[in-house]
Amino acid sequence: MPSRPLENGGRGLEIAGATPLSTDQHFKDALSVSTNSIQSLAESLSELELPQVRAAILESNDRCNLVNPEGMHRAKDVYDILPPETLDHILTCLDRGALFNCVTLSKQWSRRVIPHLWRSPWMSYYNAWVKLVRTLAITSEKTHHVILQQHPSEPTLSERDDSQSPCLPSTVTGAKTSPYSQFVLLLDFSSLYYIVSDAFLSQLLSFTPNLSEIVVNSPKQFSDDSLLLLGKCCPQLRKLELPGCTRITDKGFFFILDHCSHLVSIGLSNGTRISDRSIQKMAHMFSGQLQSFNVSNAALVTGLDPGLTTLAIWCRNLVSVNMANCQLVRDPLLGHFSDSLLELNIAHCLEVTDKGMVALAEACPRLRVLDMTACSLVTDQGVYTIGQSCQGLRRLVLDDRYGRVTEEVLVQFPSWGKEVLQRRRELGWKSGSSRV
Amino acid sequence: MTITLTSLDNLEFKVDKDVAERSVLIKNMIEDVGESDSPIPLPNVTSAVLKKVIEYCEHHRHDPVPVQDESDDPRKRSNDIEEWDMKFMQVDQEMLFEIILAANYLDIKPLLDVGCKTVANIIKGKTPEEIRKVFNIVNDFTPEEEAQIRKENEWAEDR
Repeated sequence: MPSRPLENGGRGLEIAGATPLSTDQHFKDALSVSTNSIQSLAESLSELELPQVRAAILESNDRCNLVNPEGMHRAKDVYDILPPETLDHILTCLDRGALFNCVTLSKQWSRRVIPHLWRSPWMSYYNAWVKLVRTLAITSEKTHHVILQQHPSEPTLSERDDSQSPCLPSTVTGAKTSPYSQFVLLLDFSSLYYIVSDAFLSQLLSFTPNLSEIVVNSPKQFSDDSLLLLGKCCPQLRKLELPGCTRITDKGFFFILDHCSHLVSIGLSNGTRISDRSIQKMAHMFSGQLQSFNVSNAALVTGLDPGLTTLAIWCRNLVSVNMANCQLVRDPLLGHFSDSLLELNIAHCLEVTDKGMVALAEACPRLRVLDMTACSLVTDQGVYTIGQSCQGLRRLVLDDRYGRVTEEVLVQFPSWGKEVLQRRRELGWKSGSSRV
Repeated sequence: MTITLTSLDNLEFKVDKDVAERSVLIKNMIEDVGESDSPIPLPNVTSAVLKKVIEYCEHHRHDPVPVQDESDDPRKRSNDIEEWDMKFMQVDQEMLFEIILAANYLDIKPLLDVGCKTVANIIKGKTPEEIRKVFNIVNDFTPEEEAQIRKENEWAEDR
């Protein structure tokens, strides 16, 4: 037995071209010979090597214990080596195509993979969506699935309270669940404006009762009908983003507010018909739980400010507010927000002055991000107050082409420990952007 | 300050405190025990694996401590492994999983992350049959069952 320093991860004995299997075989053989051989084996190794060989023998023993009745050695399925949360960690690194390749590996793998694959389906081809809906429809008809549990279907809202519902397609009125339904949590249609429509959603949403988040961006055929459907089918909704949905009105939005009691984040940017009645109702109903609200670039039917003031005063847990380009934003409004506010976007709110900055600094000292692009009435004094008061401020966004803010106050920010100070043009901001 | 770590096979490893504390488990142990010279036993980790883990922690000793990710979206990527880490992870599959298990036990999130991404990269680009082979998976679907599952999920297929 050659005696040489260990290099290969504690296997003890270097054997040319060894796979773990052949190494184990070697140890099995070694173990089955007489004590003398073991003794000479041990003596041929140095002081340093011996403990590692011992460890290797112990490990190899473990694996030998997996021998099945026929005496054949079989290595362990990775599924049985790693804890379930680690398997999930690996699966979250895989894209849709890779997950698809994992869904037929074996039954236990399939059960593990399917929630990941179905959590947030996104396909750019309409055909793929058709296939998805078809799967949901077909599997909901059957009582038994080869690997998934059929969830007991709960009565949908339409069965309990038909008085308020308009005429809906028959796919909704039945309690439809496919065993896959429970896994669909997130639908982000933001680049799929050409796929989304009332008709399409009427087929899909009846199968997604656990939907938590939906984003629909500027579709042509998206009306209050879809909001009614969402309210009925998806009571678990937490985040609702409807940028550019110009056909929805207070009626649809009211229905959502009445039926989705778990909402924490609402976005109605670039819209045209939501009025401050909706904002006020929302503020009253969700005062404790609303965290994020985006109403940027909203062309307003009625004066929005009473709505926004109600929002600020009532919603004491707001974390992020985007009111970019809302011309009715005035200084007093900024002082009404609760100190929970961490992010505020008032870009292009042209009526805001230093007074507003001072009010904001006092009301929201925990502010971390402030976008005041094009607030041309704000001077160094306002910015100085914010910088001094908001100790956690890490990003201030403005645009040098407008306004009265000078370098004199901006250069002080680093000395206050503010790490980031950004100019709009660095961010490549485009007109109408609704994000901070 | 130097900390002594003892592996399953009773080998002792002396490491600097800041290196050892990349492991949240060890960090908490040190806090509980206080100023003490007694070695910290790690009965779940063999010396070969511990050696690798220590190598990782020493290389990354100056990295900022990872902040708890608060975003709801658990989706991660796997194509952003830095070069040193990639070379570090060029080990046989058995060692790879042992490193992952050790990183999990010792609570070293960046190492766990890199390990999982490495496994994800093994999966990517392979057919189901190839994945089964590499991971020792026994296919317990009948051909009909397998075809059914495949059909139900074919909306996800990369075309």
